[in-house]
Amino acid sequence: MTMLEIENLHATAGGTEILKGIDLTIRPGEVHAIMGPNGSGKSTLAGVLSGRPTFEVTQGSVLYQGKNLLDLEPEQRAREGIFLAFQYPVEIPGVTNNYFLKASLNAIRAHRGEEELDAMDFLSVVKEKMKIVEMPKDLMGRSINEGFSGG
Amino acid sequence: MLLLEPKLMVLDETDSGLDIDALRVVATGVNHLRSPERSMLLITHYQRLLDYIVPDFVHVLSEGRIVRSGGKELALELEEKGYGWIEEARA
Repeated sequence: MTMLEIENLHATAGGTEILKGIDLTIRPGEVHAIMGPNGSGKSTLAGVLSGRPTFEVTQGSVLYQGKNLLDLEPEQRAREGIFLAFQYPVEIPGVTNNYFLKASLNAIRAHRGEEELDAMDFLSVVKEKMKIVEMPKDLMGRSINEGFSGG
Repeated sequence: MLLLEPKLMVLDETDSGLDIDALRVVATGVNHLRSPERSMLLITHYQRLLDYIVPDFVHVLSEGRIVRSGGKELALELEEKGYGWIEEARA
């Protein structure tokens, strides 16, 4: 089964047509890059995939693992295994990365029918992952996106 | 991202505003997630990110349509020649 199948996708923002018929098929395991000059529609495409209400799909379809992606709310998309990383992350003071990620992970686990992780189990999973990217340990106590400019 | 183990990752200009060290940290994390079951869509303005995360396919978007698709070498060609030649090729 294909991972993502975009067919003849047209989308508008503020009444202006920005996407004029995108066709793109992504199979499991593939890494695709979309490049293009300013104003070519890159951000609109990302916005449509993430379900941002600023954009309106006027034609075409997007299937994610055979399901109609456009029918799913943004949080359903996340639970189904879609991860979106943004250009300009929003700061949420007072909510630590630790808390936010634990809540996110447990929501996904619950959706998959898996048991929720308690604080101790969660911490050991996090430590393992942080070793991979050599992240500083204080990061998990920081507020979401505080002090970040991107990524 | 590493923690949530997604099936499909969409990275929208994640490289904007990152210095080279930060870019490497992000790329290491992303590359670690590459697997036969997982797919990625990288949306980027610059070729630089693709030095660290090498894509299987590159698509060029222009005026709301994909005007050109190719392998990773298409990104290098774009970096060298800019977007102008794609527009000219269409005309």
